[in-house]
Amino acid sequence: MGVSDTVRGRAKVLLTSPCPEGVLNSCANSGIMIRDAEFKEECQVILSLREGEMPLFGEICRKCGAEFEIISIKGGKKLGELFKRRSVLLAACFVMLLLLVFSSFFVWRIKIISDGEVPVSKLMNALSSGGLYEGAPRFNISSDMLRCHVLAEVPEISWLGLNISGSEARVMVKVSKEEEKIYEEYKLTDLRAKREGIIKSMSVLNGQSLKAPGDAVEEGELLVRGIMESGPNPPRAVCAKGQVIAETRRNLQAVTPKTAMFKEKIAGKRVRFAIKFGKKRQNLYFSSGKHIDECDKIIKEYQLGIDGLFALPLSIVKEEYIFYDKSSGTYEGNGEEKLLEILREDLDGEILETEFKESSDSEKKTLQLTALCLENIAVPTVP
Amino acid sequence: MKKHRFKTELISPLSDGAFGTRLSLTGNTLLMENHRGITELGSERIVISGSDGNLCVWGEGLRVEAMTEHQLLIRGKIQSVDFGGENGSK
Repeated sequence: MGVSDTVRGRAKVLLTSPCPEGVLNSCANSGIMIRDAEFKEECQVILSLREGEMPLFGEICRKCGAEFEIISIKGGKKLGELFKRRSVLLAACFVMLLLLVFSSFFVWRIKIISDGEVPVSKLMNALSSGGLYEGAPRFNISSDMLRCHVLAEVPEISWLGLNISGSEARVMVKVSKEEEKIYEEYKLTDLRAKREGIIKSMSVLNGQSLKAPGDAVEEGELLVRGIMESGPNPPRAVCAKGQVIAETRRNLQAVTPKTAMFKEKIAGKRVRFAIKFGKKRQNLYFSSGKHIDECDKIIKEYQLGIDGLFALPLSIVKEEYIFYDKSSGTYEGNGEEKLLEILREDLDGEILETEFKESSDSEKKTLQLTALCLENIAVPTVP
Repeated sequence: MKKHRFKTELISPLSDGAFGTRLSLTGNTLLMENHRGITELGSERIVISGSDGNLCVWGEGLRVEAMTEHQLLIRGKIQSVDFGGENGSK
C-alpha cells in the first residue's frame, strides 16, 4: 500500500452478486478505481477500493441488487483515530520534524579532513573567527572568504576547501610541505664537525679538505673549506659537500624513580549523563559541583543525526568514572632500551659498542649509557 | 432467460476510444486500454469486451489488479490470450 493509499484509506470488500462483473463495470464507469479484484467463489469477488469511494460503491451495489461486506479498512480515518489516541507520539514526531527543518539552516557539526597533521585547535579558532562555528547560519558562510582568512591565520595549511551538506560542514585541508633546500653550487659553505671524534674516513665531493683519516677533531672544527684554489686564478667559493665518518663516544643518562605510584582498578564504576543543546549543557544529575577523587573520568559525546546527511544541535554526554586505588611499588621501566632508542634516533651511523652503568640512592636510580659509534660528523655551515 | 437479460443490462457499453483497443503483455501482466468492460471474471479465465470483439485470457491465479473506465490491468500466470466471439470462444 502506497503513502497515498495509507493517508486516504483503503477498504477490502467481499462482493456478492449474481453478476459481479457488471458491478465492476459500473464502478469503473462511475470513476471508482477498482484494485486487486479476484474471483473467490461463484458470484463472489474480493476487491479493494478507496475508503472515500465506499458510499458511491454502496449506491451502485444497491442499484445492481448486489451485497457487499467490508473485510478490512486500513489507513485513512483509522490512522487518524490511532494518532488521536497517541497524541503525544504525534506531537513528538512533529517536534522532531520542526527540529530537523530548523537544524538544517545552521551548521551543527564540523568535520576536518586533512592529508597530514594539522594544529586542530588553531584551525578551529581560525574557522570560528572566519565565521564557521557550531550554530553558525549556513547561508552566511562564504567559502572564498573563509579560505583567505584561515590561510592567513594558519600558515601550516596550504589549501582549504569547504563543503556544507545539511547541517554538517566538511573542511578539507592540505598541509604545507617544507620547501626542499636548493643546492647552490657557488654559495660559500664549509663543513664543520658536529661533535668530537677520530676521523676514520673522508669522502669530499666539493671543497678543500683540511683533515685526514686518523686526525682527532673537536666539536665545531673546520673539516672541509668552501674555497677552492685554482692555480693562477683567484680562489673561488664553492658549496662544500662530502662525508666525514668518525669514531665518536656518546654519553646518555636517564634518571628513574625507585618507587612509583600505581593505579589498581577496583570494582564498580559510575556513569552520569548530560544533554547538550547547542553550546548549553544541562546535567541530568545533582551535586555537579562535588569533585570525585581517585578515578579516571572518560567523557564521550554522541551527537544526534545521520552521518553525512544532517546533524541536530542535540548531543548526549556520557561521563564514566572508573575508580582505582593507589599503591606504591617498584618502578619497572626498561631504561636501557629507551636510551638505545634515543641514541639510534639521533645517530647518523651505527653503534659499535655499548656500556651501561647504574647508580642509585634512596630515591632515584641513575642509568648511564656510554656508546662507541661510527657516524658522519660533517655538517654544512655558512660562514 | 431472466438472468441473461439481467446480465445484458448490467454490462453497460463504454464509449469507444479514439484508437481502438490496445493490448500490452509484459511478463505476467496484461494491460488493456479502451476496453468495454469485463464479461466474465474467474481465477483461470477472464473475458473482456473490446471494440473489436472479446478477449479471453487463460491462466492461473488471474486477478484484476487495477480497473478504470478505459484501462484494465490483469496480473497472474497468463498462459494464453484468445481473440474470440461473443463469449470469448473462437
